[in-house]
Amino acid sequence: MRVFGKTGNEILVLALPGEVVSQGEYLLIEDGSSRSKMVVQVFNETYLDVPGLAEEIVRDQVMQASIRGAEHDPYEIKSVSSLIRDSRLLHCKARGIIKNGKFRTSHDWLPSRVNSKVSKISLKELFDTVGRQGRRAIELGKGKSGEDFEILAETIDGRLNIITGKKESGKSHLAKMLSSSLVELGCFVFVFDINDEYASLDTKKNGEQSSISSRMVRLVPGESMKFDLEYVGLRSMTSILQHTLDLPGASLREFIRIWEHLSKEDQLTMEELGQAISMWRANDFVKDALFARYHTLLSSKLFTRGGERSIRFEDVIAKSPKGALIVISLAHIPPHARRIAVELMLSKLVDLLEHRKIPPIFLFAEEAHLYLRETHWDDIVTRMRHFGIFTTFITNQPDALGSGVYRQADNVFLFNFTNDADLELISKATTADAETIKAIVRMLPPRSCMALGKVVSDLPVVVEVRESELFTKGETRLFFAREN
Amino acid sequence: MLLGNMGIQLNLPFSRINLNQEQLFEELITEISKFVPQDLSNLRGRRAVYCSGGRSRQPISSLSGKNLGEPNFFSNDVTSTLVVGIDSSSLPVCDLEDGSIIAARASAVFSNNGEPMAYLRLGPYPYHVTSEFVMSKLGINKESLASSIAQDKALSQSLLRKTFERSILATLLSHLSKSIILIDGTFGYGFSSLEKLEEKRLLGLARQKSNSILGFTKVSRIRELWDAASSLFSIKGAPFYIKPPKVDAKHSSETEIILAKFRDDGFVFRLDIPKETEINVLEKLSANDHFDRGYPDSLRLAHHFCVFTQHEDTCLKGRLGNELGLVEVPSDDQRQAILGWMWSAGRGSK
Repeated sequence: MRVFGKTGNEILVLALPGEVVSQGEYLLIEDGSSRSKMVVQVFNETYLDVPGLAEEIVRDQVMQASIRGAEHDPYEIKSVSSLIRDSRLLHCKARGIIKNGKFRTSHDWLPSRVNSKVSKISLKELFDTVGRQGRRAIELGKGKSGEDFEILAETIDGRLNIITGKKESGKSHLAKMLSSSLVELGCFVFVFDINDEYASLDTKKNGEQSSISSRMVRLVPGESMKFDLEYVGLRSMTSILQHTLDLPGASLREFIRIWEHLSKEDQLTMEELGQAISMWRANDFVKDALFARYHTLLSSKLFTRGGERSIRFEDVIAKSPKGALIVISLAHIPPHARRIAVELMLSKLVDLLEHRKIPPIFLFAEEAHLYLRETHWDDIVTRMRHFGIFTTFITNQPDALGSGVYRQADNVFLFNFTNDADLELISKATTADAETIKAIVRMLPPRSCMALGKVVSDLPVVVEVRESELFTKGETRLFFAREN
Repeated sequence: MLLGNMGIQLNLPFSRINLNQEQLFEELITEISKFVPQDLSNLRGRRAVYCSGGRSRQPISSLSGKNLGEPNFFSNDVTSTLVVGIDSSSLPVCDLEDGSIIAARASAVFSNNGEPMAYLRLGPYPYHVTSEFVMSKLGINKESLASSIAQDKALSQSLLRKTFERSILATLLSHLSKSIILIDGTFGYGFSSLEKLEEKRLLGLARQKSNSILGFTKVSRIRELWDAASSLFSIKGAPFYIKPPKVDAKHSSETEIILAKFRDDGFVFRLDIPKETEINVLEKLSANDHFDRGYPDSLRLAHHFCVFTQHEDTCLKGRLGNELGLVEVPSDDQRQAILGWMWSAGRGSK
């Protein structure tokens, strides 16, 4: 391989047919006359455009397609020509320079075209040079050249992550792999499971119990996840009434008075709350509004009645000190109950974190736009992160997340997108350059993703996500499958 | 005055030279006026065919309006006959102290029943063209002539290509029988008596095995033929041929020139044919080759198969450089360097 040209931060490298380099791979340009080395990443490849080549290809095609013939080419010009025809120009982005063994993200140095040697650099060599902080490795998969690639859990800790890609590209698979790996490392992971696919992580593909099966808790809102009003607290309840059930300010004030009254009387139950609203002396409109919300709360079945046991997140976490995967199954819950459950959970978790009753948690939110109000995302992205909720959004609709979320994201795992509008949106919002994203992401095969951000020290890496030994249940239920 | 202005524009130090510019200018005008027609007004309203990119174009109607007589229409003879189109090309690769390396390539395309059947492509073969080579391989016996040919790059390139093509033609003529062999260009246009002899030999070879050689000229440089071809262009119906009145065109004494149109939507071409050629050869050719715009496909394909592309030029130089360990001496495109990109783009002959 040879350096062919440079425009801005784009380096062109000439590769002969035998020199196989794939999109996303890293190359090292070593200049014999300098101590510097340049790290570049291949983002696209094109044929070498040589004058007169087009007419030669057309001529060959005519010769081969129309008539049989014999040729005598003693100097084998045709083989040289074939070599040139199949030569490729690798379009690379300069990612940084290694000088005196130290990497810096800059491209202010131009290597010699004559003396430079271009060779592939493995991801291990690259990241050994770049240096990554942390010691808890999560095996992510294989790089483009087939080498194992792992990320460090510390680079996810305290960060906002996004996993996005088109349908059936492997997002959920990566999310499950990351969440189970974090649990194995002793983390507490909450998952909003919209398709009921995480519950199977307790089983391996061969039917045996998985390593995290004893640390998995599945909570179904309205069934195994119910709260008593005392545990919920006034703050969380007003948050639900205000943000999820749109209770007007005047009615909310009356509700707070009722709540405080019941709390004082030590009668804070759903039954007493209903009684108190009906007996309360207030404007009829206010009472109607309160009753409507009360019945909505009742129908959600999220609140304990008649001696039912309330769930306590701090107890769930305390029971599993070596980490836990707490799966909140939202699959079979009506939309309004789903929103109440999520709102309640998030405000309760913030409350617990604020009072340091639980350690920081990781939250995996699949298709968050189905249950999170938009204003809440900003909360998650900015405020909740400081309390210790480290979110990973998983979506196949990149426009469902605001561009602000992308800009705040520390790590993005991009799976295949072919839609130009989606690629445009993502390329504008992420830290990597648009050309790299558009060229590579469009060509990614299923289960391969491009990792961007802190996990890869801001050096985009294309990874084929490893197969999981766990039983992953994310497949679509099919009509014709019944017949098999 | 004019020179003065030019001097100012070009920033030349004219002011330091004592030069009577006005007198010089007047004298120059007087001198030039002796042979430059001052008055072009007699051309007003004349019909003209504009050249394009320095090349003459073929008009679609005659400029002179001369009547060449009635065309001789003929029919297609579907008797299966092999038609072979031969063409060759050469490419100067590099110049050495004592000569040049020139590569030559030839191709032959075989057609029958209106369809191309097969092709042969030979080369490129690089030749070191020196005066010794011209004498020993290109058939020039006279040392001074061989030397002057070797000195003239264009001439040596042309002679090499022709010799190369003729040697392939000779082999084909001895191998094939009752075939029609088409070559690109004319007969009898050689500059040496030896070349004429060679052509005579080839025609003799063709006769022995009842082969016919036809030379196809795409655009004639002979003004009379050029104009005559235009006058035939608009005649409806084809194929036909016509024997033009005696023209001042160099050709072998054993050949004659005809103008032929093979297809109704095609052009009229000059054909150099052996004098004894029967009209039936044209009838068989018309039926056994495919014609596009009146030009035989076997010749067109042979042309495309043998020409060198710019890419092949690069490959050839690279291969020879490696193979022979040629040491490239730094060189410059003198014309480009002197005149710059703007003026070197011009195509007119200089």
